[in-house]
Amino acid sequence: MKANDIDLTLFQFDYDLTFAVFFMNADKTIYGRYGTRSSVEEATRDMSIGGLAESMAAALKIHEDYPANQSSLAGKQPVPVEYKTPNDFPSLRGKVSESLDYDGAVTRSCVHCHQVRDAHREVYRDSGKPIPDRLMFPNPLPDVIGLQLDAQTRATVSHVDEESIAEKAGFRSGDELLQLDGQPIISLADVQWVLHNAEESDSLSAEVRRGTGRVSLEIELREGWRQKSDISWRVSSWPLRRMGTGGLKFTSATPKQRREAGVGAGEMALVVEHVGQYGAHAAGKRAGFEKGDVVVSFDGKTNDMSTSQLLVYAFRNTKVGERIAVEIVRDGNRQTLSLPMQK
Amino acid sequence: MRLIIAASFVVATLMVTQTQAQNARDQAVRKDREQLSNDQSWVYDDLDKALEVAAKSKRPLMVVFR
Repeated sequence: MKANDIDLTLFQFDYDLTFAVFFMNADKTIYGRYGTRSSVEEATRDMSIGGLAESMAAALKIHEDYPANQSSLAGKQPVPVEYKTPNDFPSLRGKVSESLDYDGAVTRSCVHCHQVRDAHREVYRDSGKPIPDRLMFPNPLPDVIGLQLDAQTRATVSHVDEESIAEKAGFRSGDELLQLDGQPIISLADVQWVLHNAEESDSLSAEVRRGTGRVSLEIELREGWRQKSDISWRVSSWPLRRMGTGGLKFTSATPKQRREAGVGAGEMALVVEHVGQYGAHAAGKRAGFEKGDVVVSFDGKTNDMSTSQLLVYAFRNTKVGERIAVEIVRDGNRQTLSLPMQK
Repeated sequence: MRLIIAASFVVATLMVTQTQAQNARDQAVRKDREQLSNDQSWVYDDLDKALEVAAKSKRPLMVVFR
């Protein structure tokens, strides 16, 4: 089976990964997933051989108990989808060959996983319809609810953020997460799967091993929790930059940069870290942006935003063909540039 | 690790590549295919076959995308 015609009704996972694993039965019942990423530069910091080994052992245990445990696996199974293969997406239709060009430019003949999400987002961009949060903020990492899991283990809590959703639920460092939302958890990816499918307001039951005992916890999710996800590191954010920032890449300003730009606390201060050079990714360059410019206003918005929040804002609030006013500070002087919004 | 995997899982690799320097990446993909196709521990890029082997052997499947 080529990824070019990957069965999206079966294989649903974080498509921004470069390494992803499914554990499953021969009848296609999914036991669990493995594979997590949270950085462009550090592709393997959220994975380890030890963690994979623990997940494999847990999957073997699930297999041992199957099919008696089948009902507990219900939440792990794929959800109904509109587009069943990459070729079904309008932007990929007719461009995807079923066979790879192994004798030639094989990588160019491949569909890359992230293209699945890219193509799905383009459906909404092109139609002007509101994009669901689940597609905008896919596979949230546990840190969204204030939980950090040790990548060297199956799913052991290494840190709980103060005043976070996880702390309020009662999680403690050292807890081994056994079940979440009724599903056996065998990896960090399994936690992400549960969060990916959780509702805007939701209550998730959790069971942890704490010392020699087991403790039941309840995670309360309230509206807006998912939007705290940082999507800026994702490969699938590259097309968002093309669409909404003309290929510009930003980083949050340091306190020194804020002072030099005359920007106060709570105000927008995003530094242009990179200016795209080619094609549609050079729209920012053509608009006059330079590396080092400090963006202090975007489409009239001056409130402090992360790069991730700005990408989401641009995607959701602008239309193809519009030109957005962007105010920058360069060498201590303010000026306004006009940035085209693109397909 | 791979011997343990072979004993416990039917392993299938489904090739998915990311953007990298194309020539080096193309070579890596071809080399990978050659190595894994000759490795009895893996079923390379053939989900139907992997499912069939898993069903016959009554072992679970570990499907790797990379």
